[in-house]
Amino acid sequence: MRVLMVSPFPPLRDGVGKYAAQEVAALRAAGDEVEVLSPLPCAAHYVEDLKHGLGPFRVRRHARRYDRVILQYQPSHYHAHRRGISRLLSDLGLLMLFRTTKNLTVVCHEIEYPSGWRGRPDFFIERMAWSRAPEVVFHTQREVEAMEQMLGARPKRVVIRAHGEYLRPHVNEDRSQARRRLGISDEDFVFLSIGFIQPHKGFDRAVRAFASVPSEHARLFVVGSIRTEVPENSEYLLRLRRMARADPRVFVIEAALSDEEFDRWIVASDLVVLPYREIWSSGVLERAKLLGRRAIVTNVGGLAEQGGPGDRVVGTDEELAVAMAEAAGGRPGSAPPGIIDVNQARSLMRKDAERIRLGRSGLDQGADPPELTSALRRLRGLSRVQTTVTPSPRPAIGPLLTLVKRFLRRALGWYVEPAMMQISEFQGYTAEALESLTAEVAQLRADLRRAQGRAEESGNEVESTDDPQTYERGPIEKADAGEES
Amino acid sequence: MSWSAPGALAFVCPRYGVEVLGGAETVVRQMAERLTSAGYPVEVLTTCALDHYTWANHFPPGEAEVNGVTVRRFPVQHGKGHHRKAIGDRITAGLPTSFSDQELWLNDGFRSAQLFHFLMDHHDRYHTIVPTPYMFWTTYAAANAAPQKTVLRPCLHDESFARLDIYRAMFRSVRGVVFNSQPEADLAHRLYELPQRSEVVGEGMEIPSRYDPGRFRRSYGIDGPFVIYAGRREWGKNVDVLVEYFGRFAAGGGTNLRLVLTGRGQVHIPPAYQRRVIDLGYVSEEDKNDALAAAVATCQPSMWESFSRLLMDSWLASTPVLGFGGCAVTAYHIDQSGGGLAYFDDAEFEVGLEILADSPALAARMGRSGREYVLAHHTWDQVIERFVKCIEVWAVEAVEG
Repeated sequence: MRVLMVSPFPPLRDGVGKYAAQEVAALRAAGDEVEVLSPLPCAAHYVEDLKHGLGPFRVRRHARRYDRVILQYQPSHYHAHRRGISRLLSDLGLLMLFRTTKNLTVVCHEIEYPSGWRGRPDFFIERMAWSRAPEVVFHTQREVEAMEQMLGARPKRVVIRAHGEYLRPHVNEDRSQARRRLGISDEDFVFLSIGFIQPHKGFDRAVRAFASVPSEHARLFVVGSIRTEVPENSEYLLRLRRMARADPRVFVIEAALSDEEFDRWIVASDLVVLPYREIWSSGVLERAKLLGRRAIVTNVGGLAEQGGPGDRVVGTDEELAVAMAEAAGGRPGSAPPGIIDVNQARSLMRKDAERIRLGRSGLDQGADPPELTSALRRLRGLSRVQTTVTPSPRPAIGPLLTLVKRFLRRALGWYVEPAMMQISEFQGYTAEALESLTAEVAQLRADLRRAQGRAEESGNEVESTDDPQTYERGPIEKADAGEES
Repeated sequence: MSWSAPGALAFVCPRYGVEVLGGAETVVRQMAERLTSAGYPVEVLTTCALDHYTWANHFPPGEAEVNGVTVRRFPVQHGKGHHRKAIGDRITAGLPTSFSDQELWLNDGFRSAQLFHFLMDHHDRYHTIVPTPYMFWTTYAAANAAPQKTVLRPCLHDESFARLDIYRAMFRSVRGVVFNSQPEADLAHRLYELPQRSEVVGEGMEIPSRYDPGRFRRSYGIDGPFVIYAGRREWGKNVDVLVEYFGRFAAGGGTNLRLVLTGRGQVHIPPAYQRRVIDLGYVSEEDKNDALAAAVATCQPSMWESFSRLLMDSWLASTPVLGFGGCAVTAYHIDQSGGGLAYFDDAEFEVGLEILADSPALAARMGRSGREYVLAHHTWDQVIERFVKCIEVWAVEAVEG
């Protein structure tokens, strides 16, 4: 059977892409011939922009050549905006695709339900689209119910498929081997919160709950990287680091992990803690199940249903604290004393606040100045001046109108076209100039930031407490904050 | 002879073939041919491209045999390139870029989905996969498809691209890394968290049986003393700076030295220097070797080298080298071999040229030292022995866990 997989794909670091790659491998092992169409450049056979309403037509065009089409659905790949005309158009496109592609299976990883009045056109179209989808795969029953409840839609055929059906382990190591490679002592009881660092993952809840775990041999590792460089995520990472400074048993390790490293961390852990604030289903939870590690999950989305028999579902932060303490073999109590004093805490507060202010103003990371970037985006968004005639869509007199337009264009072309070309060129050169200016201003801002950092460091010795959780190979030890560099 | 681990070894490189120019590509071809002729099962996985500027599909896709080596070629797909240029400019300028932008930059150039899918489906055929050089999509993709079978041969340079997060993750997750030189290994240790297995293997050199400087002079009508640069003329190779330095040196008078350039690529020679700078363009390997033997000295102005075959070629021809000391690899080889002088600015370049031109006995001694250095460390037999040892030991260790 010829199958088209519509999904991002490796080597992109993308959860849905990795899921798709494992499904492709399974389909090929079963004898299918599979090709990949991706919305982002990667190792896919075809790459197309799937947003802006026209995207689904492009999928449709490819789909004709295959016996089966599997579309891994994540809203950000199909919709440029959450609402408005653009959203309406992309919803219409999906409606067309879902309705006309008979051999389509949509694997639903995430859905953004429209909010507000249910009579809105986008609500209506999205409901129509999902109701007409020939087959939709969900990972939990809870997601099906949510669609019915929030959208009033039920696809023609619903399949509940375990999230981990196609998953394969990436490492063949036992706990001791994995720990040796990560530099973790065999004696420690290791809690692990792993994945992209974003506020909705709720890793802060794990750090807070961990404070009630009395054991000195307990460790909490928060491991992952920032997926999208937005101030919200950077501030969240800062916050996690700040929280970790108060407890020498907590480690925040910021690293872009390979598949092997990801699995190694899970194998090395005793318990995976997923204190999500919102999510539908979790790939991390599936990998934990696959690798034989128990998990504590919060009762959001379909996590309770997705969890295995050894997993524990908690509703509140207090329950999370009790669950973690009990897992480490005790009752909630007081954690060992913190490692920073009041003066250090004040200093950290000032420094982190300054970083956040810089981040928001675009000075941090040498980010583009927002007003220039916005002007540049608008300029780039302008289409080049057209020198061809767009056919008139009017049913009866359309062809005649088009003919007249063509005649006028030719008659005036000698006069108008040079001016048009000049406008187009001017537009291009202005955009280029603005681009250089943007880069230079960003560089200047980055220089300024560095200079401020240096000035700050020379004037404050407690600044050396920055980033105490830097990950080093070898046994993981945490020095006193005052000594760290 | 065969590998102690079951299966073949696969080299993965962006281009391959006798027509393909470039140091890294040449080494892969010579290594694959020598391993194959020694009886080791070897395959090369590459694209259909010949030209590394256009990445146009030139060779037909599918399996072929090149000098006895099995080569599988896969078609190239092209990104639109807008992101690649915009993000690439930011990276070159040293501005921070997010991980997702780095991924976009990498994937928006040339890529080969079929090559990736082949590795995804058939990596079991190979006990070891050796992608090279580090910066290309093929290397990143191969390391992603089967990281624990991957032994990187990075050909690493000290450049802004080497500092990207995407490569940090790649270096950390592979089975092992083999380096061309000690300075390259030192750089990698500074930049990355490397796997436990890494080794300096070096590059092997073909040793010409004879040199005929007279034939070169006759063929190209070049008489009188000259210094030479032989290689690609690209950004980073600093050939324009060499022309400028040499032009100023020659304009100062008191010398009849000329500068001969050979190799592919554009170079700008200001009109004032055109009488003293001769650009021959691409010449055959034999002509290049004869030219090196005829030269007073070889200039190596490049900023970034992971090995520098030009230095070795020059020393094999017993010709001393005047190399840019800002390149750690060039400085290292010159220091270790005693085969030349390293300069850091135009003044040192001019003095170095004068020393080599005015002291033929010293220049000859340096040339001899250089040749002894290459023969002692960089013959193919030595390199193949080191490479095979790494591959075998690491593959067995991986199988045994």
